Amino acid sequence: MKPILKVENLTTSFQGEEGRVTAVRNLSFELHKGETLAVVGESGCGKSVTALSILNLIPNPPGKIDNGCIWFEDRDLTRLRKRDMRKVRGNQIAMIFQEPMTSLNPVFTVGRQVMDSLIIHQNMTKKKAHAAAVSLLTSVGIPEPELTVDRYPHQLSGGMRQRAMIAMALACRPDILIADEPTTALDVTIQAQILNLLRNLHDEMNMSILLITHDMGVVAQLADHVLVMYAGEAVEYRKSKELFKSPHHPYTEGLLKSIPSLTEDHLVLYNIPGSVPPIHAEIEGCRFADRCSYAQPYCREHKPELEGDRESKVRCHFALNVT
Amino acid sequence: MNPLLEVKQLKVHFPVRLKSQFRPAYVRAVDGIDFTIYKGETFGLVGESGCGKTTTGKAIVKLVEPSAGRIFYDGKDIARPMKRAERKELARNVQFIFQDPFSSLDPRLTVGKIVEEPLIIHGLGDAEERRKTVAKLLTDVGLSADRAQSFPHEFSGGQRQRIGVARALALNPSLIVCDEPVSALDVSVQAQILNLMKTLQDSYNLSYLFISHNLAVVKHLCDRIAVMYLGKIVELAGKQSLFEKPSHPYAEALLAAIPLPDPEALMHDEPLEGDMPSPIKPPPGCPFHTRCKYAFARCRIDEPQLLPLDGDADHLVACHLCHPDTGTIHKIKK
Amino acid sequence: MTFQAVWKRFKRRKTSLIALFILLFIFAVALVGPFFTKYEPTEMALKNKYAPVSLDNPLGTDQLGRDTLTRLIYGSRVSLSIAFAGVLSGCFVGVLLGVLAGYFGSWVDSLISRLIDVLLAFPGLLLAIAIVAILGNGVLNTMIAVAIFCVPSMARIVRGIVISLKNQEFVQACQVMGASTGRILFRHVLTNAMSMIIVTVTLDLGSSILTASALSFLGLGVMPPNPEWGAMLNAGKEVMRSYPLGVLAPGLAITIVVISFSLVGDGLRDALDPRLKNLKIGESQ
Repeated sequence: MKPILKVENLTTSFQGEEGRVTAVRNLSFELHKGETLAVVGESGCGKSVTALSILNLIPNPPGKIDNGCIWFEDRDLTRLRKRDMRKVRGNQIAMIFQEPMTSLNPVFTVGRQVMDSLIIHQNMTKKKAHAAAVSLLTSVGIPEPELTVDRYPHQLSGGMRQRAMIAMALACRPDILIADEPTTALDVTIQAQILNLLRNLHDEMNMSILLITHDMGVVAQLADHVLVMYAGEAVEYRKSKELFKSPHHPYTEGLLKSIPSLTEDHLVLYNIPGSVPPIHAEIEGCRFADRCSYAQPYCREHKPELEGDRESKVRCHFALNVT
Repeated sequence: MNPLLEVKQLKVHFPVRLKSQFRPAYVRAVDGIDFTIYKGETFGLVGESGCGKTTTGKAIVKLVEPSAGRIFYDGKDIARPMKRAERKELARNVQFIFQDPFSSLDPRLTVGKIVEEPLIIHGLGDAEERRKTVAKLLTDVGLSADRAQSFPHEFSGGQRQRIGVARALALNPSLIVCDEPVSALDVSVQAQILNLMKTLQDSYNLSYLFISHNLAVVKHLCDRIAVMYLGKIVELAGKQSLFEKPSHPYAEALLAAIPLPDPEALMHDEPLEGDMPSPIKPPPGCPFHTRCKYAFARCRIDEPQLLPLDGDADHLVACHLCHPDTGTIHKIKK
Repeated sequence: MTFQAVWKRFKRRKTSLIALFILLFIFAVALVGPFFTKYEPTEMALKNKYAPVSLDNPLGTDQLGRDTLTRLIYGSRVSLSIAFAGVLSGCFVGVLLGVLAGYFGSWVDSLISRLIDVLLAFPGLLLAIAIVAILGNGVLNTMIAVAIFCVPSMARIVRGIVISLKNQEFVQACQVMGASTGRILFRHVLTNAMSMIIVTVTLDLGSSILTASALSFLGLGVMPPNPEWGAMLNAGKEVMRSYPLGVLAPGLAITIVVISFSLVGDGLRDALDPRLKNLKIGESQ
């Protein structure tokens, strides 16, 4: 099956104080129709930059896509003219952000913001768009949608704002929804509501979701496939169920083991020693070697490649749990 | 066991001016809570944002003034207004670790100066002794002592939080209030800090008040846990007892809402609908009745008290369903 | 943040760097120039009035035969000292008021804020004119006018910074340690506000040279024959047709100094601004 979105050798860098730093290095992945792909990693791993690169929203300067292609409907998004890109953005590929308060415009009503993309992309009349906005707000579970449509973002609670954001993103029934840490700013009970909503909408609309998150719990709840990133690189790509059962990359294993468990008791938590290398560090061998408990001298000299078949790839010379 | 800190009917209300009203309204951030922390234990305070957990912590170190109630540290009331000397004395016993490892360190001071500051304020030791103390503190929290000359921005988030811990330890306190100390950190680093806190607890003889929204973290670290909702404690119990038998509907929902890192254990229902009501106008009766699927008529008028569950004095619940004296209706488990 | 780091960033902006050198040159001239001049600034030579540009009088002489270059050099002393003394004392008061209002809040804040509002309600120059009109003219009173002119804007800026710093966790951390208010204010709040204060002082220096000159030009500030730039402009305008350098020289001097201060201020702001410095790369959190 042809993927709906194909990222090839994406490299994105930023101009910093001390020269250019590469936030995403040579990243490739595919997103299929109806699939939820989670991009996980800790802060600074390049997952958000990946999302922004796809939508061509990297602030330039200081940022720039140095290399690579992003294929969507036989077009390379990195080479699209600004006008054409605007037609894709919000219409075919939509995005929801972490902080619903700052991503909604405080001076317009929620309804107006949902209607905007309908009017721009679908040439709807105002009246039709208003009706559509009400039904969208209903579908994302906002109570009293007829009233909420005329409210301003600050009059809504955090969870309701995130629902309104989702309604905005879904207005044009996009093919791909990019969700950048959609529940990180929310409380657990509200997070559960939003996760549930995303799952239901995904089933209903059969769209593809690119989920950017650091929370393994959220990944387990939503994702079909998982791409683990570390220090700008993809280190493991697996089916979600397999990844949680038997991680191949030592970093993935460490990440899973450091989560305090609700079901088991440990006296001491497993942790990955040290911290992520500075983003501008040029490392000859494996970028994780310094923190890896399985690392051999070989790892520090030879850079591993992301290898494997279509369903399972890992960037490690001594991958774990591989028969 | 000896009580180290006793909180009695603590209330913290902040005035807010509403546009429509002439008289200021009050945010009832903390609305009458009681708990006790014993020597050497880790007491967890969990709840969602706006439940009053951080305000409680700040009231204990006097960053906010309590509106009513008492806080006893080692038998002395510390909730009343204090003179500076008393305040300093309190500072030597009770310290605080902040949530944000970035804004909690003065960006213009070196790490050595930051950790040394409490020693200077309290006039402990001469310059050479202080330098040695700082070096020991930095080593104790897992940083190398020769980094005392570096500035905070040269450190990663996890290392900065270690510096915050070192500063809190400098005065050798007995109790440290930890306000979400790991919620701004990445998981792998979070585990490092949690382990560090456990190690230090033994070597420094510490008690912790651990404030967090993350139940898994609380479960890992705490001995006893209080669950807060809308300025009130709704359930207070030992760790085992709470996680095996969460009895307040809110505690139950909170546990069910955590997405487990296991694709085989999918959540299917929303554990809880709606949002927390405004703490300016809390609902009458039980604060949770607006979202509770078990709520009945009495919950809407009569506020439940925090009482022992099934006669177990170590497991307190504030819910009409859990107390048989409410008679007719019993909780129906799914 | 070390001096070296600030200097490194400041150097990147060439216009600000050039402006800084111009200012340093003018300071040097004001400081040592008078030791090298052949004339006294008020020394008249009526036989030699309207002298053209020559080696003896590089900028010619005015209607009273006074050497314009000499007057310009002495004038720089007057103008710069009015600006520095006025701005520094005014900003000192402004910082004090701003810190008190910002840190203590409640009625202290209300009182000081209303005072600032009243001062800000007057257009700047009008306020200065009013002050000089009440106090009378002269160098000292011009300084006072300039000082009062600087107070409200500085107080307002500092108040804002202090309010935002007060809620930073590192300030709360000091309170938890039992630190005294003085220690918190001087060691943590003021040092962190310092970069913004320095920038504001630099920008104020430029505008107060303009204010002082304007006062003198209107005949309200420094009085002739004292060689202040604004006063020189005023005197020169009478004979502008026969001796244009009498207006051009002080006019250009004012323009160059004011623009330079403003460019250096902009450069400092960029060099000291921690937000631009720590441009976060990677996660957009």
